[in-house]
Amino acid sequence: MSSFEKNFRRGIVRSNPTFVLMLGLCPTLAVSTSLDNAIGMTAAFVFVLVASNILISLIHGLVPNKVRIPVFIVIIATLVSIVDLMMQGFVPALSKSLGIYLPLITVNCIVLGRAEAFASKHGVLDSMADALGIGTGFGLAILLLSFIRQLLGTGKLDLFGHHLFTIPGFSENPVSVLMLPMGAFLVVGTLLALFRWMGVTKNE
Amino acid sequence: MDNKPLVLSPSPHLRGRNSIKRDMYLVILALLFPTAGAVYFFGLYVLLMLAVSILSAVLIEYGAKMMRRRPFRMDGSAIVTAILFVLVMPPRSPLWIVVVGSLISIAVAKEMFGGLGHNIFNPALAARAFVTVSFAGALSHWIAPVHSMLADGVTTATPLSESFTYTLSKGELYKALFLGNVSGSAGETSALLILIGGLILIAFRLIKWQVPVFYIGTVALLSWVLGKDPLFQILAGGLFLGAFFMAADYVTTPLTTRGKVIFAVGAGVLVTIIRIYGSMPEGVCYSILLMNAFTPLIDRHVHPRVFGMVKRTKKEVA
Amino acid sequence: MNKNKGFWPVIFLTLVVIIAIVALTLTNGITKDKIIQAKKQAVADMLATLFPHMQSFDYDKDSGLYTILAGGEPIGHAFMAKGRGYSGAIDILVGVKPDNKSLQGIKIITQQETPGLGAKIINPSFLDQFKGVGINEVNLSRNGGKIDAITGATISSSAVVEGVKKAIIRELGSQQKGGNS
Repeated sequence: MSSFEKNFRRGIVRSNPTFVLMLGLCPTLAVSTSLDNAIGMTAAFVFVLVASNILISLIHGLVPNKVRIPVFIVIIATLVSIVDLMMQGFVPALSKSLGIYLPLITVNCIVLGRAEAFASKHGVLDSMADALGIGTGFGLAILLLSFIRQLLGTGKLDLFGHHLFTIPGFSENPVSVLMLPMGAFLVVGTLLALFRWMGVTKNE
Repeated sequence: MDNKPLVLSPSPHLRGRNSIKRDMYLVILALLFPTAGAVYFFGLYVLLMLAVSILSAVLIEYGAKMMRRRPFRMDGSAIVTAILFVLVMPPRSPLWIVVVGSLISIAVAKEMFGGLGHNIFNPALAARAFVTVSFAGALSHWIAPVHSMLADGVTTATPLSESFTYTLSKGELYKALFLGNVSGSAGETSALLILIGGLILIAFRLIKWQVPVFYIGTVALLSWVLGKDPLFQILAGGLFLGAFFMAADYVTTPLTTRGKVIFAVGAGVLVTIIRIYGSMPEGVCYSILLMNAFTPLIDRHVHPRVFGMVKRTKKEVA
Repeated sequence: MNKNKGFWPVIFLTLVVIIAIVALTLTNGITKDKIIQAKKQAVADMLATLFPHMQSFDYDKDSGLYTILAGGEPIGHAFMAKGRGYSGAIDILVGVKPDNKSLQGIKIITQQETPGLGAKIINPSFLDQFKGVGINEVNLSRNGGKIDAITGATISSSAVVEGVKKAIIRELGSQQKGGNS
């Protein structure tokens, strides 16, 4: 297995940011109320993570140790602001429903964590693979969460305004607590237990 | 259980007659009084809810134990939880919600935390909170007592809700509230029957008398200070049921008597605040759940006296 | 040169910040007009749900009053109202007919009411009751008005009604303080 492939694969299951590292749970819990939000968040997140990992691995030889963290934060914050402005301009509805959680990618511990732990020590290609892997792991987790929450919490599935299907009889009395913050914790906790029980993930 | 495992335990090796099984069946005995009241006031449908609740709770407990690869013991705790859950539900709750309640109370609130003895929150109340938040629409149907086995209920408001009105005199209202002849959750209406069950629990030393006394006392006192009718406040709603059967549960409340008193007073303050300033009519369920969350903190600061130790005086500490 | 010595860390950080500023200025230049347009479009879409024939609108910043225009003629006014619901504020858009005497309709913009109960205020069966109602008749039916509260969700229903009433008094100044709820 090439090192690119190895670094890419690691983030998806073995160090999945949500279910194994349990990092960046705040936006994951908050925006996983609908598939639309999950897709928008994943797109923004993967862009910021990949771009920041590439930029930081490019300049890591030049960065003075003392100002390492400020430099990383400036780079990440700039990238997030770019995404934020673009979303406001081109997909205003999505930008509105993601709300504060889009700018908050700046302080997302996964992004800074990968910059500090991986990109500042590895080459461009490996850093890119790592970012893509972690991004995929994050995306799969938030998509799974939002799928379960939307399906059981509203009894139907909608995707970007298109109605996919309704569970007959169920949509009149859906488990609406799942759409609330408490439901997010319940679903994450249950999935975490389920994945451990099935042996998919292990405690690191 | 014939193949008893060899148990090694530290001394003392004194064995009491108490066991989880005996205690749980005593609690069920005590619960029979409010349960009988629930059936008398709200009809046979409550009995159907009970049957569904107990059956599903035991089955779910069995399934959860299998998943956790732990032995299943019929210790009666699932039955207690199932009965309590029905007693705090509106008397015409759909049966599927009762099953969902069993799933949440047994599988999520109890087994996911490690089974009996490890749960942080009272399982029956956790399930009640879950279904309240989820199915508010389906659970907002309150009926007046029917006094007959099969009659359909007439929708009415519960005593604590904003739209509650009464035509009785004050004295008759207190009497109705005390006997249970009012609308409300299935088993919470009759203070008298709950009191009989509660006294059984106290007589067999299953609960400390301090818990209900301080819990109900705090609500009475605080309501009076805040200008509400204290007698009405303690008799209406689920305060008695909560005080005797939930706030005094061993697992989810502090270990020491002093800790239990702090728990009871805290819960009493919360009930009054939720009732008077909150947007919900009743706060017993949330008050106990909130104090459950504080239990580890109370236990950390209120230590039991270590066996054989003499209480240190202030001088020695200094 | 040691990258950790002397002024290099300061210079480096300054350089990074300058590059960031340039990048953000460029992005802002591209998206600025788009964002203003998108915001205006969002308001227009919101208004168009109450006034389907709308072609354009005017907004008066001081009074918060939108004037809806079609073919140069005003076809109604709209303003925002706020209700105090069961769990937080309810933002409501209120549309009135051009004579300011009756309602064109209302629309709930944001709400956090209990799903399955208070959240029914977004259902057409509740909102449609406001269509064509005189501005003095906005009241729950138990208070002598024309709006039926949702069963089991009196607090949310009256939050909407009270919010609309208050906004009518503020914007049009004419509804007498009626009802005792």
